[in-house]
Amino acid sequence: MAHDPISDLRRYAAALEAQVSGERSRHAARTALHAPGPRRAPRRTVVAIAATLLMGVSNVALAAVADPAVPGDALYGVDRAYERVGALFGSDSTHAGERATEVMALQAQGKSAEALALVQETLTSLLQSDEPEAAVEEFTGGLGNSDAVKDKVAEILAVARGVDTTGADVSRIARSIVDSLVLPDQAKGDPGGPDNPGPPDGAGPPDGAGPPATTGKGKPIEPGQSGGQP
Amino acid sequence: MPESKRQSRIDSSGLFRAWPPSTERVTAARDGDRIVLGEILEQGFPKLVAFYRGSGLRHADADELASEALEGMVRNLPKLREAAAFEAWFWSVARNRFRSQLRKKGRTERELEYGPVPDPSDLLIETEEHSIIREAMKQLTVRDRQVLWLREVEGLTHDEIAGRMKMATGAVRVAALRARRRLADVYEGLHPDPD
Repeated sequence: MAHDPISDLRRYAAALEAQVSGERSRHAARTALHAPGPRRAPRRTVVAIAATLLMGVSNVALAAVADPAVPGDALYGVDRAYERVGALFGSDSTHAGERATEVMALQAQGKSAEALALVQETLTSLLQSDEPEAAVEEFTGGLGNSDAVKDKVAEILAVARGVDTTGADVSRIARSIVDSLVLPDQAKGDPGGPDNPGPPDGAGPPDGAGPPATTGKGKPIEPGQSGGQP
Repeated sequence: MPESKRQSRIDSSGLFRAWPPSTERVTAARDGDRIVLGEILEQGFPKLVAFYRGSGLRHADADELASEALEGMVRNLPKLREAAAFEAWFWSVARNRFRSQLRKKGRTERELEYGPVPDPSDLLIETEEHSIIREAMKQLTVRDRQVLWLREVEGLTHDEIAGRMKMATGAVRVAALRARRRLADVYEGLHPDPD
């Protein structure tokens, strides 16, 4: 008998169809009819992705807005929080330059007390960092190039080499640094030179005036150390 | 396959198999008659399983893919503009689902073959005739298997196949001819000479 492959193919197809039970077919049809539309899932996915992107953009925008904030600003806490998050994810930046900018901004606003607190806090933090010398140099470099500040760097680095970094030494040096700061507009308009430690107009007490400065623990600072003159 | 030949198909239980569904039934299903739609899907399911088996999938994979294809049809049937084009559309969905499944599994049609061992479910229907046709189909590319299946088993025209498989009509004609010849050659080699 001659074999016809096409006829055999049709019989094979019929056998394969017949292999599927009617019950299985009914079940498959019912399942398809009641299957939840997969469009919902993509829609949810799209919404989730959009929300994530929006949050990412918002975060970047918020971080950018918060970045120049100084102590006392509403976003300063946000700025510092982002830095801490960055540290958690392995960022080894000490933000020393940023702190220096903030100190200068505070000082320009006449907020010497806040500037002092920030210098003290920053020095304490930097001296405990992996590379205190580099960090302190970056910080003091950001505070300006006045000789008075430069002179303090050596003293600070001495502290870094073994003095109690949370104690009175840091407070004392912080105070002397703040007192030594020369703001940019002062440097331009003051023929006395960059070493003039006087504050801007109406911005804080003049050198040596006012109540005696104290350390972070309330101890008076020695007169020879508070005026910013070596 | 002419229309009269299509409608003369009788299933294994001797009942008239209402396939392809009439345009009236397709229109009703498309317009929201869930009962008619369920019946059409029920009739189409075994055809899909057979098509996927003929393409080279194992029974379990063919069954799963056929289920997914039905779900795709439920979602997309409202978009079918011409009810008369249902059958070509049906096989288009089936073929697209097959291709996307291959992509999902990182396989190409060239790689797809029947399993290295016969599917256990084949033992239920296995005859010498079936084993030979299965072996012969293995010698064809997946595309040629599907062209041959749609042309010779499902009775689609070359134009319908071309439209659904995104091939030129001439290419379908050539593929179908090549597949038939190849099948005949393999058959000749596999069947013992009666003399």
